[in-house]
Amino acid sequence: MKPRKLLSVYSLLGVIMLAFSISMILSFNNLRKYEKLAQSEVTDATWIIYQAEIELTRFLNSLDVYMFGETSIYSREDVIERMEIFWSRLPLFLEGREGRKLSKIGNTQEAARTALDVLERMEPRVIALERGDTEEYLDIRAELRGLLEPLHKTLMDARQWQEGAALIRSERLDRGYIELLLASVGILMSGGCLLLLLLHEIREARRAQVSEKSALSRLSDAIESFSDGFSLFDKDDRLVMCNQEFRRMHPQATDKLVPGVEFEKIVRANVDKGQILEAIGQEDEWVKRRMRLHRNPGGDFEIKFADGHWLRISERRTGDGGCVSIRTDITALKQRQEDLSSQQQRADSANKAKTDFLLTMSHELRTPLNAIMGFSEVMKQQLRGPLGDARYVDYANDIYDSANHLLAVISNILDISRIEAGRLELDEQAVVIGDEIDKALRQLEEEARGADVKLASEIEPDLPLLLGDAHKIQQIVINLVGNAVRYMPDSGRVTVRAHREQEGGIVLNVEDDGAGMSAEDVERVISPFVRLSNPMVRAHDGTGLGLPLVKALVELHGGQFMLASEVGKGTTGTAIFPKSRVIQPEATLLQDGSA
Amino acid sequence: MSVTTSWTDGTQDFSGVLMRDLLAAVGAQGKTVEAVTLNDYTYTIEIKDFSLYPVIMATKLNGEVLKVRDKGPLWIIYPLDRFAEQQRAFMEQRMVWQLRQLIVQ
Repeated sequence: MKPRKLLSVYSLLGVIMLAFSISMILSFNNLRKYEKLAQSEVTDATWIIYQAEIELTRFLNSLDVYMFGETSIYSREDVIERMEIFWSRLPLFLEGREGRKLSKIGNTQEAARTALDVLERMEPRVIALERGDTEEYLDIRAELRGLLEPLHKTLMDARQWQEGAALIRSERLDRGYIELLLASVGILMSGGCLLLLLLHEIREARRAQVSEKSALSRLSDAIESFSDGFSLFDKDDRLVMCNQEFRRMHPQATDKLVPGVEFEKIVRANVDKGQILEAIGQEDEWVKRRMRLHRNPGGDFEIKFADGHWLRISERRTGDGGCVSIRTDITALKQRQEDLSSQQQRADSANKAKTDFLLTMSHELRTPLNAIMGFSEVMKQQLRGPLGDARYVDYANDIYDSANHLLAVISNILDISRIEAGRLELDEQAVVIGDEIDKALRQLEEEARGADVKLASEIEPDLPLLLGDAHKIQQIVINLVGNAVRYMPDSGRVTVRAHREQEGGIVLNVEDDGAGMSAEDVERVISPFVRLSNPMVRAHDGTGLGLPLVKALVELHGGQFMLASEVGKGTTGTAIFPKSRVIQPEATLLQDGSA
Repeated sequence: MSVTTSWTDGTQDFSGVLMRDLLAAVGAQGKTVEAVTLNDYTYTIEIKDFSLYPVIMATKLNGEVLKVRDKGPLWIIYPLDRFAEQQRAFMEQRMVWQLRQLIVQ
């Protein structure tokens, strides 16, 4: 039942009970009144007439005795006194409370008035009455005696009237009792209803309490079983509840973790015990900052504790202005992060050391190499006169070639190192790819003829310009084609292609029909300092750095390099330069402009 | 003393002597007085009443000497009009009329 409805039922029952109570009190009062009335009426009204009758009899009696008895018993004064006493009773019929009552009963008052009249008339005669005056006595006595009959009749009337009144009174009493009975029944019934309702209410309340209790205990079980620390604060920032895990996370503040304690006190306890590392030395400011965060919870944050634990704290406002705080132990996660980053640092520093070493070494090597190359060239051309034996010229040639090769190796190492160190920069310009391919092929023409390899190029007409480093693009082609020529088993064919791809970039493609490689080898040759040791391949003078350098250079241009190969069928190296590197043809630009 | 009794209509003016003065004048010592009427009816009154209330022994009613027919010659009168309705009935019982004799006990 809804509380409002219940309340109105209660009020109604209350009003009913009140009404019955009032009627009961009224009935009680009436009953008392009737009963009192009955008593007083029975005693007084008839009593007055009865007494008057007796006094009249006594008066007559005294008169008789006065006339015929001993004088010592009743004197004249005694007779007069008796008359006076009888007289004194008569006004009671006419006046006062009883007079008013008797006025309702038949001829009562008439009888009294007649008696008074008779007394008025008889008084002088009684006073004057002499003993022995029998005639006068008889006359007076007859007059007075005549009063007795009507008085007696009045008494009877009064009795009758009183009986009638008693009947009415008893009816009234009966009615009063019935009223009382009804009121009692009413009170009993409404009281019973009230009691039943109350019992029902109590049972409902108890049931609600029990179900609330079990819901609460389920909830608190659920919260206890959290692996995270959970705490709930009310709108006054006082602790409502927290789970065991939360207590475990704050071992130094456990004594503070009782319901009702303010959030700030818990924070203070942790800070004062030096539990929070970053708060040490600036406790007050830290607590202030923490309270600001607590009042306006934003994202999660992390706190490191003195015992090495890391907690991630997530606080959210609840609907009623309270706050839920969830703490996750992220110590293990933090540990892993730290381990990883230190590993990365070690790896990075090792790599940097290697790069630095290579850069320095390359410089150091190149300097003496210049001397070797310069002097061997002077010698092979016999600029300072003939060398004597013709073999010295061959030797000088070999020295020059070897030094030249070494220089290429060192240049490649230097380039790769620079790229790794992020020191190689592109000299960007608008590059005509076809031109760079031609230049590269011209450089390799002689070597290819010697190896019986045919070089070809297929360049898409109207290929747009590429924003890049011309020298490095040429180097890409030289390295790819040079590799293809060098690893060609016998005679073969190498084709260089350049065309636009669908997405708008430019594709540079070098295809050979040489020995090819396994997928495993493809993976390896792209890594620096790896050379194939294929028995099918004749002795080569490659540096092993060609393909990694190509890949690095293409990537430096923001492109992608892929190597596809199949054993016995050949190898294809593909460099894709992105659309962002392509300079839109002027014609298109014009068209766009005129549109 | 003006008194409205239940035996008469309207206010009646009684006069007489204060009972306490009367008893003092005769040097009466005791706790109660027994009032005896012409009819030899007796009623006992506590003397304490006379010090509590100005009870009089009336000899006159409305300026005239009380006759026996007026419930005289002496009538003990309590100041009825001072009392509440419930008390009046008790007080009226003590208002003995046609008084003949007072016996101090």
